[in-house]
Amino acid sequence: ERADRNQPVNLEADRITADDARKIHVFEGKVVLTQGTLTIRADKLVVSQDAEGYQKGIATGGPNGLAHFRQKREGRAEYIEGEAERIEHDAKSEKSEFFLHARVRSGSDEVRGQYVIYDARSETYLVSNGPGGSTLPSTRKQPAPERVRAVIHPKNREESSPSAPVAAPNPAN
Amino acid sequence: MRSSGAALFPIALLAALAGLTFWLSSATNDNDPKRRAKERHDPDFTVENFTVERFDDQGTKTQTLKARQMNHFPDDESTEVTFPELTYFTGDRPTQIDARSAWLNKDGKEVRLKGNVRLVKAAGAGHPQTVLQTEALTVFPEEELARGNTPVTLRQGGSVVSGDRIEYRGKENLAILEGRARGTFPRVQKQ
Repeated sequence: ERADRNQPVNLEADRITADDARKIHVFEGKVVLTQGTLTIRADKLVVSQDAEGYQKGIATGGPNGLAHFRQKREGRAEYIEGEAERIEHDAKSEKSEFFLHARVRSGSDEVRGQYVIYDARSETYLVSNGPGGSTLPSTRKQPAPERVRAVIHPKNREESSPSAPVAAPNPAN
Repeated sequence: MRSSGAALFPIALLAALAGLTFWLSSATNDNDPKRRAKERHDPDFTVENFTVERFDDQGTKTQTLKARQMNHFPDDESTEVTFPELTYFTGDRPTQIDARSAWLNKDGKEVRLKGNVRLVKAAGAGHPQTVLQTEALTVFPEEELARGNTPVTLRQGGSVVSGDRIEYRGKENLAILEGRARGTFPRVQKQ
């Protein structure tokens, strides 16, 4: 939810490596990042900070190899949940990108694909085969880029979610 | 791999403390055969409330050591310094190390800092002040390595990381905290 971005980012892990040369903090082992209602769980999470001090987190691995993302929707009791082999969360743009085996659910809607980008400000998410219309190279675990799949349940008027998920085969953005 | 930037904490320079004790012990060594000190752990020399400053060949001060007391023990050639305050003026960000006590083995290859150990690196161009705080830290100056297994916090600007123990590798500029490791990064207020 919107208030999240004014919260400090807290992290827990088994080990933290502060790398002063590369100006990053590497968290490893049962990593949990929380910022307000946003939580990211992973095996490893690298936090870097830009000149203005905004944090960027790259989470990889977790239960069955997937990092997990969860954030409450603005003004609703619903959560956006997502998982992927790699999740990149940018505190400045408030965008989260899910790479490989990406799956994002909001209420009863779900999208799957090689790449999902979720914009917390507009609460919209976009699924495709790769960022910016590219196609992510297939990996050992994902030999051929999966077709994009989206399950969107029709909603009645008043309960309709403000962010109808968009599934686009090759979005040009 | 020698990191490009200077080490976060120039602990290598703790070796200088050993150099000082060697000089002091040789200056006062009267190798008196009758001395009983060899059997008992008694100091053979003591220095009180002192400041030592070191300068490089251009005459600029590179280091100061202030301490309340220093005792040198002939039986194991160890040295104990109480309330040491070491300041290094290397690079643009001076570093200060202080503790309640510092124990050095005979060749200064190992320095044990005990009691409210603080390593403070001043803020500098684009770098916030960095403060490492713990209860006990063992430093191996020549290897630029430090280890501590008491709870430790590392503050850099507004961010804080903490853990149950630490290994600091000066050469690779890495501080590794383990155990219940926690991190808090402040939210940037939009100007």
